Amino acid sequence: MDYRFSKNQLEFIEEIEEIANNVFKPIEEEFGEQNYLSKDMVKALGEYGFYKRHIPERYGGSSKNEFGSATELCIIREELARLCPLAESHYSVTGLGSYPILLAGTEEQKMKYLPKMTTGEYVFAFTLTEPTAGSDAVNLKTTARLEKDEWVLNGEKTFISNAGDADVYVVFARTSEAPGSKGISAFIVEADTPGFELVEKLDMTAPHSIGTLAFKDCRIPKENLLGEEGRGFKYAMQTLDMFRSSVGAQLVGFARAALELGVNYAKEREAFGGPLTQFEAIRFKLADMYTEIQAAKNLVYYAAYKKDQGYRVTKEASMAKMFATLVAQKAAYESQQIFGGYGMIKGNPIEALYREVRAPAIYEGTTEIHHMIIGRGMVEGTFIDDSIENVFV
Amino acid sequence: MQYTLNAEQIKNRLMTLDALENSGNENAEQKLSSLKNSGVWNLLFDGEVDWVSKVTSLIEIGKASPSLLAALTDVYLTRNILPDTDVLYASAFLEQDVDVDWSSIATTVKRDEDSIVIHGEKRFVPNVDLAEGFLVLAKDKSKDRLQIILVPKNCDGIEIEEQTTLGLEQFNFSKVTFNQVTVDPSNILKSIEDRLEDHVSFEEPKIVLAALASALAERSLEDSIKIAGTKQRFGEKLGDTQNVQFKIAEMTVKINAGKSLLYQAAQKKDRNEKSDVDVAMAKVYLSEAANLAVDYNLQINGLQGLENDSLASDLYMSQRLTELYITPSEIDRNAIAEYVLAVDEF
Repeated sequence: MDYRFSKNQLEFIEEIEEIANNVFKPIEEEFGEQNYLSKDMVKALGEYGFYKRHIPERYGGSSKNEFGSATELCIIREELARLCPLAESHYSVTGLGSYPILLAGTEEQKMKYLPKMTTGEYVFAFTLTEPTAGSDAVNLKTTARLEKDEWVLNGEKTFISNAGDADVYVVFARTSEAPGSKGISAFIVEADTPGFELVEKLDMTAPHSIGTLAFKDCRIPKENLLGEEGRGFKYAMQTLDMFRSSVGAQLVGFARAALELGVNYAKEREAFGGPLTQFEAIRFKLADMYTEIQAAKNLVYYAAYKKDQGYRVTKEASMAKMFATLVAQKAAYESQQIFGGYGMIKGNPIEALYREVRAPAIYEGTTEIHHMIIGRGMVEGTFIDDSIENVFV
Repeated sequence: MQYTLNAEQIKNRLMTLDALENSGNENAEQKLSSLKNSGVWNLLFDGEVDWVSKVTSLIEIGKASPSLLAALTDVYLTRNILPDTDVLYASAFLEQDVDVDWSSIATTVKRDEDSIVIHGEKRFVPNVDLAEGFLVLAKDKSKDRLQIILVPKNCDGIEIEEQTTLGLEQFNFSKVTFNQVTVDPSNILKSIEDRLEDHVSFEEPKIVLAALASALAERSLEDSIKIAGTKQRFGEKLGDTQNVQFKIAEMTVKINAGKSLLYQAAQKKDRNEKSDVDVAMAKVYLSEAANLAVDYNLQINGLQGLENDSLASDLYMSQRLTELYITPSEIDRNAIAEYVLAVDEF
């Protein structure tokens, strides 16, 4: 048992820090908060090889693994979230959007799309959620009908990150009335396809590129079916299984940033004749934040480790995401509380962070869904691992 | 990174499970004696054995017998002071109004010609029935220093009265009065001018308490899952209701979060790295996760959980010690905060 990062991983973390501070942060500072993508950030992420990391070499990537490394994905997201949230979102959304192609695409599809993803030329979007199908995604209503050599898509998708900015959309739609998830298939839709349109951009608590999309008799070639017909929902879940623990990593990054801001402010701000750190009320907040962040980090990398070992990680990824979400929300809240009124002023990083941590408690499985997944699995016994080498419950 | 036990650690865990199974229905005292005669004792106290193995064994012991594990807390404390002995001693540190502020110790030690005389009343002295003597913390007012003195149990002037405390039925504290007890000056084990914590490590007893918290929480979770899977309400299993599923999910996640901190501390100890803050974090987090787990379990059990002979009631009563004993959570939180404030980048 050894929770430490390897020497290579530590070197990689240093490398990310350097690039984030010197390249990404200046772009973020100039860009500010917008509801569209920063092309400069996409370009920089491409230039510095971030999009290559989970893609095999034959598709233009630098990964030695066929499906990337969950641990490495977590490292990147944690460090970018800590230092430059804009870079983190630009990195992860395209990663999520293109991952189903890596998972289930034909050789031709992979060769067509992935090399352009690795350079930042193509931006991707994961297109699952609908106005009446969020957590209950299996009830999605968008349809895809095969007519001769084309699939015809109709329906509406919302809360789609990169909507209107992406070049390629991986879309999940119903292809048959088969029960549950069995009637859902995945498709590749290019942005300039007739019948596909951006309905609106959404203004969110923490702005980023997100919006609502419509498919109105949108015709795509038959070959744009991704993987097997009827297995689209499975690809969506496999993709989320890979990325879920990395959402936890992103939140650990946010929480670390919040703690750092809170600690440094508490040390310099004076009240009642001394620094804020003289008060137990402040000290205990910091102690709890630090403790919980360490625990969240452990759960995140445990899930990633198991994923990289080839296990199904439904339970572990749910635990990591749910716990890290709660920890980050608490850390941002408590740190803002330490700042007092100054923490509410636009331009103070803790103000932005306080807004930034809210969405992850909702996307990729709400906190409530993860409670349900874990609780149900434990009660049914499917999540209980009593193997002798395992120390967790 | 590696998150599972290696072959040697698995072997040690199996040895512990075997020993616990063989000890059957013995009470905690008998179990402690059995443990001393088994290989598990060496596993727990041999400096060559790694802490990941020790923590794993401690949690297994706690799940089988929380009282036995509570008793081991003090064994780690006293062996820290007297490492090279197989004799069991009980620490007599705490007093009526002294639990963490050692400067307020009222028990005195005075020189009297060729001997020393100890006078005072100690509370919360554990393992009195098993111990052959006490390690008494007393103040030498003439030198303004604390001393730890070995006092055999059979000395004249010692009175023992059992204290009744919450939970852990087979683990008892006692009030021990030292009424002008005379021992040889060579029995002074430590003479302390500054902080007691610089001379006596509380880290290992705190690891035991964190393991105890984990064990109690895990037993609570197991009990909750059992009840949730069998008890019916309004025509459905309790486990099919979201409020029970959510409670079980929260227990699961918090226990695992706490265990990860405990194993992280163990790994640091195995690498001879500074681990006091990690141990403090593990104890605070796991003891409070256990608080939540025993409470949720009682709630899932319903009123039956309040019956004195129920497992839920037993776990509920026994957990509280883990947040108070050796160091209360507040002391540990201050230690963690001290560390955090010395760091610039997280």
